[in-house]
This record gives sequence, C-alpha cells and structure tokens, in this order.
Amino acid sequence: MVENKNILEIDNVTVSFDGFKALNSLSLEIKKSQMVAIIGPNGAGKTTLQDVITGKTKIDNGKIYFKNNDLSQFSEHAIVELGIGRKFQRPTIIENISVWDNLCIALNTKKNFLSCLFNQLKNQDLNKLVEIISTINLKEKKNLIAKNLSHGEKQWLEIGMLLMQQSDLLLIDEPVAGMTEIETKKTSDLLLSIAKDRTIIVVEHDMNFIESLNVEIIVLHEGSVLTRGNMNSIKKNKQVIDVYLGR
Amino acid sequence: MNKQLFENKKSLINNIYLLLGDTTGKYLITILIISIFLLPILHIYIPEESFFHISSYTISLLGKYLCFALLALSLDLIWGYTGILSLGHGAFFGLGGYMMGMHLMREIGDRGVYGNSELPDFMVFLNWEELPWFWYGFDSFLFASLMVILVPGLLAFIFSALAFGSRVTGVYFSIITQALVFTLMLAFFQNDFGFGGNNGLTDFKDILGKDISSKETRGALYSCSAIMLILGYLICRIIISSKIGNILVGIRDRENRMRFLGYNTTVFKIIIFTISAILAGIAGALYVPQVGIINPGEFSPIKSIEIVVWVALGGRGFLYGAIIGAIVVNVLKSYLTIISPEIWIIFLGLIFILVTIYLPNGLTDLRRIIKRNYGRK
Amino acid sequence: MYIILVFTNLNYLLADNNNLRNHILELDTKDFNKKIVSIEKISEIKTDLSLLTLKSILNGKLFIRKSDKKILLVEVIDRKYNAYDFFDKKELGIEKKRKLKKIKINNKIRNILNNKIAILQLSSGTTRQKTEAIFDIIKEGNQKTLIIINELLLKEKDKELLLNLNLAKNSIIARYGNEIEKIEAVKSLSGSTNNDIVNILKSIVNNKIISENIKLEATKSLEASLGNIKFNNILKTTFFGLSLGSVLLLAAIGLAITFGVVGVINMAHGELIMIGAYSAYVVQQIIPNNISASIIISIPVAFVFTGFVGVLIERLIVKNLYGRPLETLLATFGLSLILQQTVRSIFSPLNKTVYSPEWMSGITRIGGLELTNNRIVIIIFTLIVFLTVVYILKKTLFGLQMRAVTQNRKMASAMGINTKKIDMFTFAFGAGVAGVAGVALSQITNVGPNLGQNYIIDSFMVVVFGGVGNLFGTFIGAFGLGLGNKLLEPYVGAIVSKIFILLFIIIFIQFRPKGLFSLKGRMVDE
Repeated sequence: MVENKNILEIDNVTVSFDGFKALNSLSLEIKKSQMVAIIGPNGAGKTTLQDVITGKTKIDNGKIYFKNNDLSQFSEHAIVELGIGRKFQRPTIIENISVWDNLCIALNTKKNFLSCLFNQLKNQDLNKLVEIISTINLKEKKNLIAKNLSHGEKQWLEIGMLLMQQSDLLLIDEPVAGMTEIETKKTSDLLLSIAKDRTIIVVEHDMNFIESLNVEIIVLHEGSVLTRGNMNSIKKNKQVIDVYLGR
Repeated sequence: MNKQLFENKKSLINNIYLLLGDTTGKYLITILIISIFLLPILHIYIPEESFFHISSYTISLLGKYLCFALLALSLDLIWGYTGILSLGHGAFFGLGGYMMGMHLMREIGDRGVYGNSELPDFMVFLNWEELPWFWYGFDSFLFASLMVILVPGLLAFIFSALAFGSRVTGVYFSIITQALVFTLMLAFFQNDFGFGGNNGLTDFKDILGKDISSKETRGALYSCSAIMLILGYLICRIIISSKIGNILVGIRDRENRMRFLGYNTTVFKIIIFTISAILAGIAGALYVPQVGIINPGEFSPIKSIEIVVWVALGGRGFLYGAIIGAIVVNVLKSYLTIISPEIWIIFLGLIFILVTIYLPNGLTDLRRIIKRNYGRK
Repeated sequence: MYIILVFTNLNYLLADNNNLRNHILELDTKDFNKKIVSIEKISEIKTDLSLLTLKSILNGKLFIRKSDKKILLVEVIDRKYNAYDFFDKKELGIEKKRKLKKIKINNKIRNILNNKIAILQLSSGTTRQKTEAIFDIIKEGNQKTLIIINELLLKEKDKELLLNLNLAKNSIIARYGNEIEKIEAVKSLSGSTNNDIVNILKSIVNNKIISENIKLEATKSLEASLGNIKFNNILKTTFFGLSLGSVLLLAAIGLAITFGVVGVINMAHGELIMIGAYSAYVVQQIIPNNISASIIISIPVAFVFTGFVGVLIERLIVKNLYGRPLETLLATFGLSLILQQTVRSIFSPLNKTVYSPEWMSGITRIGGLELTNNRIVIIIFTLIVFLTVVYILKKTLFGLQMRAVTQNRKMASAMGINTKKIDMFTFAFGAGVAGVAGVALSQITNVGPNLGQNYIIDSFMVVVFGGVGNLFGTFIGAFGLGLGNKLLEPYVGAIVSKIFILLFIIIFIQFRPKGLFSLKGRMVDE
C-alpha cells in the first residue's frame, strides 16, 4: 500500500438517534501532524463526530480509518492504544487523586492488571512526567488533590494526561470554555507548543481563540461538512454566514 | 534537583511498613497479630476460674467477628474503591461456607443419626440412594478448600463478566446482585437442590481429624481467622497502594476518562470483583466451623445488605474502616439483641439512615466532628 | 288472614321439626339398614334443617347427648367438643366426649347421603348451589336419581341448569341405559370438561364387556373432552398468569413512578404497600359492619395516608440524598427496617385478616373454567389504577411538569417549574399508589409486617425488566413475568419457576441493560 499522508479518514459516515441523523454521510480527511479546528452551530454533530472516532458511539453506515485501521473493529480502549486521545468538554480528570497520580495513570505503559499491580516507574518515565508537568505549568501543585485545582488548571491537567499517552491524534473539545483571558492565552500557547509532532482536532466556539491558533477550519452543519479553509475564507463564505446568522 | 524531587525508590522494609497504611491501620494489624497468639493461649491454658480465661463461647464469637471483618473488607475493595455496590456479597460468603460445610458433613462419616457412612443424614432422611455428583471430592479437605476459592470466584467472574461486559452499572448492578443472592436463597431452601434445604448443613463433628468443639480447635480456628484477615488486608493494601488503587478510584469517579486513557475498565472491574468474592468466600469457609452451621438464611438479602452497613459505618475506602465497622456493628448486635431484638432492628435501621445522611465517611467523620467541636471549646 | 297463614306455616314447621327429631333419634342404632331407612325419611322432609341434618351426619358433626337425648351439633377444636343445640343453635359450651354419642356411618351410607343432599339441593337453593348439586349427582348418580332429574328437567327454566341437568342425565344413561341409549348418551357427553364425566368415559373405553360401537363413540367423546380440558388449562394458566401479572404491576407502578421519574431507589417501597394494607385493616376495624364500604373507603384513605408517609420520607431522608442513588438505596432500606418494626410493635407480628366483600368472594364459571372473583376484581382494579396513573402523567399539568423534570431537570427549572416541589409530589404520588396496591393485596394475601418485603425484589425486577422511566414497559414487564412464571409452574413447581424467572431477568439485563423499552440517545447515559 502506498504511504498514506492522511492520519484520519472518515468516509460517508451516518449515525442516527431515533430517526434523527446526528451525522449525515459525513466525509473528512485529516493529514498527519496538522492542527485543525472544527466549528458549527449546536446540533451540527461535533460531539457525535468525536464519539464515533473514539468508539463511544457505533456508526450506522460508512467507515472510519485511523492510520489505515478500520476503527469499527476496535473497542474504546483499543482505539486509545492505536493512538487517539480525547479531551472532554468539561474537565474529566480523576478528582480524588493527586495531580501527579493523574499523570501517572495516563502514562503510556502497559495497561493490563498485572503490570499495573507491579508497576515501578522507570527513569525515562520519570523524566517524561517531569517534562510534561512542567509543560502544563503544574509542577508546584504536583501533590495537590486534583479537585482543588482551578478550572483552567484542570483543563491543562487533562491535556497533560493526553500528552502522557503519547497519542498521535488528540481530540480536544472546547478547551477554553469558562476560562479567563489569561488562561485562554496560556491554553493557546500550550496547544501550539504541543502541536509540533502530533495531529490535533480542536472543537471550539470561541472564534478569537481559533483565530489565535491560526489553523485550518472545518465547518460542520446538520451532520456533514459544510466547508473547510482558513479563517479569512471561512469568514467570507456565504453559506457559513447563513448557517450562523440563520436563514 | 528534579530527580530528588521525584525519587521513589524505597527499601523493602519501608515498602512493607507503608503497606500497613496509616496509624490506625498499623495499630489494628498489631493488635490482630498479638491476638493470634494471645487469645488461644488465654483460652486453652488459663484455668476457667481465672479472670483472664477466655471462654469457648467468647473465642468463637471473636472468631466470627473476624470472619465478618474479612467479609466487610472484601466489600470495601469493590464498593469503597471501585464504587460498585454489591448487595449480594452474602452469596459468595454463603457459597464459601457451604463448600466448607460440605466437607465437614463428609467428615462426620457414619457418626450421623442414621449411621450411614455413605450419605449425610439429610440425604438418608430424603430417601436418596446415592451421593449426588456435586458432592464428590468433598471428602478431601484440600479439594474443599480449592472449591472455597473456585466456586465463589467462578460465580463472581461469570456474573461480573456478563454484567460489566454489558455496562450494567450503578443501581442496576446493585439490584441484580440482590436478585442473585435472593435466587440462591430460594434455590438452597429447596430440599431437591441437595444442600440440606431449610436446615442447611450442621452437626459437624471433626475438622482435619480434630474434635471441632475442642479448645485447641477453637483456638486454632480463631488464629486462622485472624491470619486470613491480616492476609486479606495486606492483599487489599498491595492492590490499593499500587497504581491500581488510583485506577480504581478513576473508574469510580470517571470511568469514561479511564477508558479514554486506554484502560480496559471492564477487565479491572471483573478482576477486582472476583478477588473480592474470593475473599468473601474464604470468610464464609472460616465462619462455618466456628458457628457450627450453614443454612440458606445466609443468602437472605437482608444479611447481604447488613454487610454494607458495616462498611458504611466504618467508613468506606479505608480498608481498616471496614474491619472496625464490622466488629463494632456486630458487637452492638450481640449486646442489643440480648436486650431486645426489636431495639436492634430499629437501631440498625437508624444506623443506615444516619450514616448515609450525616456521616458519609462513617466513623472517621464522627472522629472529625468530635475533634472539631472539642477544639472550639 | 296473613297472620293465620304464618301460623299454619309455623305449625307445619314445628311438626316437621318434631318428625325430624324422631328420625334423628332413630339413627341411634347399630343396624345400618335401619339407619338407611331413617335417612330416607329425613330426606323426605325437605326443609333447610333436614338438609343440615344430612350434611352434619356426613361431616360427623351430629351427636346425641346420652343423658337427655338432646340433639347437638359439635365442633371439634383442639380435641375439645364445643356443642350447639341443633334446632336453635344456642351454644351449650364444651361437652365431654364420653357423654356424647356420634351418629356413625359407613361408605354405603355416605354415598346415599351425598345423593340425598344433592337431590335436596337440586330442589331448592341458589343456582350455584343447584349446579354444585348436579355435579355431585354426576359423581354418584344411578337409575333412581335419573327419575328425579327427569322431573326437574320438566320444571327447570334456567338454561345453564338445564344444560347441566342434561349432562347429568346422559352421564347416568351412559352407564345404566340400553345399547342404543348408551351410544346417544356417550355422544352427547363429547367435549365435556367435567372430571367425573371424563372418568366415566374412560371407564367405558377401558371396559372389556362393552360393545365396540359404544367404545368407539366413547373414545371420540373422550378425545374431544381431553382436548377441551387442555384448552381450558391453557386458559386457566393464562388467567393465573394475568392475575400474578396484575399483582406484580400493582406492586411495581408506584416504584416505576419514584424510580423512573424521580430516579430515587426507594427500598421502603414494599413497606409503603404494607402500610396501605394496614390502612385497609384499620378502616375495617372502624366500620366492621359494612365490609364492602370499608374496602372502598380504604382506597382513598390508603392513598392519602401512604402519600403523606411518602412526603415525610422525601422531606426527611430522600431530599438529603438526591444525586446519590446508592446512598438513597441504603437509607431507604434502613427506613424499611424501622417501618416494619414499628408496625410489628403497634399491630403485633401476627398476620391480620382483612375481610373481603361478598362480591369479591366466590367463583365465576365461564365455560368449564372456574375463575375466583377476587382475582378477577384485582385484575380489573389494577387496570383502572394503571390507566388512572397513565392519565395523570399524560393529561394533567402535574403529569406534564413531572415528565418535564424527568427529561430535562435544568430546562424544566428554567421554565419556572419548581423541580423540588415536583420531586416531592411525585414521590408522594408514587407512595400513594403503593398504598392503594396494599389495599388490593390485603384481599388476596395475609396482612403482616413482612408483606412488603415479599414484593420489593419482584417490583424492582419488573421495573428494570420493563425499562426504567417507561410505564408501558412496566406494564408489559409485569404481565410478561407473571405469565412466564405461571407457564413454567406446571412443569417445575412454583419456587423453581420463580428461580428461573429471576435467572432469566439477571441474564436479560446483561444483554439489554436498559430493559425492554428504553430511552435511546446521546443524553441518556450522561
């Protein structure tokens, strides 16, 4: 097979809930080491799209390939092992353990019962932990129980956990919702700094934030792709304006 | 500098010390270790008139409490850490007990009322011709001990694999565990089921060739219970203080996140549930020779739910909390039922309500509240 | 004029009683042939008392006091002989056994008595008593009874009775008639589901001396009868299944509301049912003279009272634990223990009887089927309760708000619905329905402190099986499980069939964790 430059290929995917088509013959390709932003009005299918990629929701029709693997053959945790990490809209970290432990359980080691039981941190793992906890600016709070972090810090911790996994593709859902301006700025810096060697899909409403990322934008509408392009072309697109302003 | 900050190499002794948990846990284990030797000695060698003598009733009662403590421990592992509330842990306890009871029945031999060396009394009474196949092998203590682990373990494995595999969680899981234990109760009440029906298994004579009611046996059984409880505690501590402890908390608080971190949470839950069931089964097996009977009442849903109150009162998610809870509740039960069974039932009901509403962490909350109020004055 | 009539009537009665007394005293002999003669004479008197005499002899309750030859009815309770005057029914206290003489009978006399009783009942009494009498005749009839039946056939107007009389007539002819009569009679017995007729047909088929022609017809008739019996059995099983299903549904509706709508696991649900049943008991103690009224009044009383208990539970316990289902489960379980014990302390641990009104007791015959009235009433009552609940949920403002809160609590709150109030009322409503269920259950089971315990697991199974939050699912679940249970029962027995049903549900839940009918979609598992 020819070397495939697309890390993710979504081919004609349909998902319906009780007759409502959340995704309607959606097709989409994402290249390797690219950061893209997905926007779209409510009900456009953004969350469902992430659900099908991560295997949480089964698709009715169509195929999804990640690194040439047909994802319908994999369970949720196997998809993670293939290299897809997901950050939820609301921070989903483990609140009752420390920041450090949160990162430890995200560490990309064998994740079966026995190896977890006899797990000892190796030096290289330790280095990685230190590196990432510095990247997400939580080094001073490493022993803090995670529920005591601020909202923004929780979001960063979750991004840090995805980094620990060494995923090739990160799905990030509304990372800056509810953040202060300073936190938003820090988050965009963080994303840009980690985007160098991995593919990132950001789903976001905040247009200023997306503009600051300066990446390609994909517009979803009624379960399929309306258009894609850079910020300037999207802003001028008549269809997009219609969708957002209402007909 | 970073290296020092995150240094985590520990010496072996240090590891074991840490395994024992915080101060309360260490005290508890120390007391248990001392009691392994002290109580049987006081029971066997101190003359009965002496103040320090421990009667056979008391030592069996204490042994029984320790079995309950092990049972509570097993529930804490699955409920306190993993957030899965089993309302059917009596099923595993009871099955473990029945496995041991079957062996003790076989050991009676021809000393039963009917003097039949081939069949236990109740089978003779029911006019059975021969031993049912599932009683084969129970003549051997080793085989029975194996079954004590295998039967509850296997049932828990199959049951939880089905349930967790299809993502049955929360209250639904609790309800079907209750249905499971209720089903077992109905089944074991049946004479045709082959386990003595109503009356269960009783009238045991020997265990491992020793008279089951002799002082030495009672002492030994107490020591075994204490040793198993310590072992159970250590096993749970090993699991909890490894990375798995955090993973289980993760499963409890945010199972989705754990899945997206690449953990097959289903497998973790199945394994923990099975380990928990095996511990419960062992507790049951130790319980039966000390109380001298096992009957289907052990499978009644109320008994299973009582286990939950032990853990809730002791404070879940501490392990030693479960042990303390089990002992405290059962000591209270022993005293209050003597005063009046009605008071005990009302009291039990009140513990359920008050603990869940006001002391979500059980006695540890109480300690904190007392400290706080005391401190203000 | 009228007075004279009454007087003459009374005189007749007195004369009859004197006759009766003499004949009964004649029974005090060891000669069974003489006894038979006396019994014939007694049965000729044809009054209620003579019927009672025959029945009492048959049941061994008729005694003669040795000292004064007084005729007594004796109830033997705990080996004590409680005596009553036979004629005026006055209680005479406990008599010593050796001072009494019992009228002894043998098998031959027993048969005669059965027959005579049947004939007496045929000529008087209600339609149902007459029908019973006819069935007795089928069992024991002979040529003599045939004459009586023929007489009755001329007089009787009731269609059902005529049908049964003909059946009885043919059952006698089939045994005692000539060849041609027999064939006709056997033909006419075809398809009857009466047990005795089936036995008669069987004995004809197996009789070696009877001609082949008759046997052939008898075989045909027998096959038709057995077919009908099988069909009847299916109907009967279905009826029992529906009956069990309605009980399950009654017990589960309240739970379906609290669990499905408010999302609260109420382990004390069974105790709310129990409280409803005790409400019926208390109401009956207050108005002991009118059982019908007491049952009907106790329905609203139970609804309001258990509803009120529901409010208390919600305010004092459940409110503190919303969003913590497992804790709610434990706290309400603790509450169930307290409620049980409280009731045990107030009413004693013994079972209480709540009497059934007349229209609920007895049997309704449909074809060859005998359906007990109380079960029929419960089925109908359950449907009424169910439809009322559905109506309230679907058509009233309260129901609308309730559904709004179930589907989207935040949105409902934003629309100005006081969600906390709705939670409380919903919980109270579910509790009230449980109380009503308790009244119904008091009619078919003993009322005791443990009444609720027996239903809690079943109710949960029904709700979970049907799909939480879906009343229609609960309906299907209840009747499905009820029918399944009763269909299995003939093959494996009651307990084992229950075990199978439980196992079935446990396994079923593994494959459809959300039950038969579940909400589907993205929001459901959030």
